[in-house]
Amino acid sequence: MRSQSVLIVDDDLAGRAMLRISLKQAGFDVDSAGSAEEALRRLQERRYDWLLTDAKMEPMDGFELSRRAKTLYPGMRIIMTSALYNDRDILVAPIDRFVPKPIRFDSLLNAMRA
Amino acid sequence: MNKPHSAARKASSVERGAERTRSDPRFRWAAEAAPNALIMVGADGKISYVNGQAEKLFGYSRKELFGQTIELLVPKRVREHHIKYRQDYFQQPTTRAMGQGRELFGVRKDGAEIPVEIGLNSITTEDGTLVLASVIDITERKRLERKLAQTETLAMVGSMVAAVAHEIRNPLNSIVMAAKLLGAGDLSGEELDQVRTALTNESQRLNRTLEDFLQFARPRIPKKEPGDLNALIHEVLLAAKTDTAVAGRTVTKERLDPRLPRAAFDGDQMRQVLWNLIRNAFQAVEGKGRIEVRTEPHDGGVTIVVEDNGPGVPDDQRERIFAPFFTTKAKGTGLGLPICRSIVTAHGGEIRIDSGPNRGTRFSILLPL
Ligand SMILES: Nc1ncnc2c1ncn2[C@@H]1O[C@H](COP(=O)(O)OP(=O)(O)OP(=O)(O)O)[C@@H](O)[C@H]1O
Ligand SMILES: [Mg+2]
Repeated sequence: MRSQSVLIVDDDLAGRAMLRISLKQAGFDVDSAGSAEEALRRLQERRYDWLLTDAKMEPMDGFELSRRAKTLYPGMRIIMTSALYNDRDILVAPIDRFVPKPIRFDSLLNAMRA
Repeated sequence: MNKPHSAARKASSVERGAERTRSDPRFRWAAEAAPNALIMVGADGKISYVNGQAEKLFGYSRKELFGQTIELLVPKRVREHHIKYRQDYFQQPTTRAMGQGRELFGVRKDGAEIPVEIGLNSITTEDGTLVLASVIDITERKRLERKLAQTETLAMVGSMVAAVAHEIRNPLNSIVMAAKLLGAGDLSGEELDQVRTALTNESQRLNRTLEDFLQFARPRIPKKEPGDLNALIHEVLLAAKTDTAVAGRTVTKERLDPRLPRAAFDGDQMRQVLWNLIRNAFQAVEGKGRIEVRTEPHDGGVTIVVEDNGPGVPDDQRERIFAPFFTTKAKGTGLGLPICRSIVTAHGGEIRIDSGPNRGTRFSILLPL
């Protein structure tokens, strides 16, 4: 069975690195991007099973990225993470899962395996 | 032996003056129509007239008040003071508000104290001076003020909590994952390096955040020592330029006056002020503008200027940017400028902004010597 691919998007350098190493350890095929703009460029190059994006980024935030990604690549599943969020924004966002920060890695894996 | 007699005669003539004034139908008509409580007092402090509003406010009838000294309506703890104040006032009876910013209270018949505002007017009759005090009950206003202050505090606590949550959870997130990875075993050498770096950097970041919050919540009294401001500025600008996260291709210029007098300042605190201002400037020009830092002497002090040619601050935000937690940056905490202001003020100085849309931004710090 081919391993699942995931693109991590977070402008927080350390957070991005830790997530990349953790997901790799768990057997995922991982790439990462430091901004929403960079993520959109990556998505043009290849397909991913998952987009794992932070909510608060500049200039484009995770919500806008999710909206565009959902339109362009409807088959890709989107997980959003954030340290600070309000429930209403998340309810209306075109995402498949929400995982609060600090990320409990077990629940992230469960979400991705379910 | 003569004195008491003449004083008594004078008092009674003032009373006659009061009598004439208050029985003037025009005066009565105006006084009863006034929205405020009005109380007329002679030089001896005796009440010679009150209107209906005053009866209502203090709970006494006119009969009960006539002939009493005005101190009946003043809280016990300030009566002595009030007598002296009243005597002084009659020496120079100008129209003015009483209390000069102090909170004033009246006492009702039932003993309850009411917050009041009092305006004083003098009326000169042919027989002497009378004072007309106009009293406003400000209980309701005080209640609203308290409520507003409470709402503001709550709003502030709200944004504080949100900011803390954001600033702490991100580094915490990395630390939690890094710790877990350390236990996982089979990491490559490069990965192990990244994990270790994350642990050190992110715990330092947590500590810095905490220090910012503390500096804001409980500002430390500056430990001022005479020092070289130019050297400090040079050092901070250099650190900012080498911080690749913000610097980009920003052009910086230093114009530090070598004849700058030595001012006394707290080095750690001023470093933080300069760092916050310079970092804001770098963030404003987004890696492609110009930043200039200058020092110059001014009358009895020194001026530090940090100027950038970024987008500027919109007119309606010029004061708000100093409010805690005001930020227009996705990753900002909004504590930079409030901290700058509190430190500079604690140094006896002042921080000014000159900015407008598309005019760039100039922050000036004025420090006394
Ligand atoms: N040089 C500048 N040019 C334009 N706008 C500025 C400048 N300095 C400050 N501001 C505005 O003032 C706001 C508040 O600044 P402040 O330094 O207090 O917080 P911040 O920079 O947003 O966050 P923090 O400093 O906590 O990382 C900024 O978000 C920005 O909108
Ligand atoms: Mg700032």
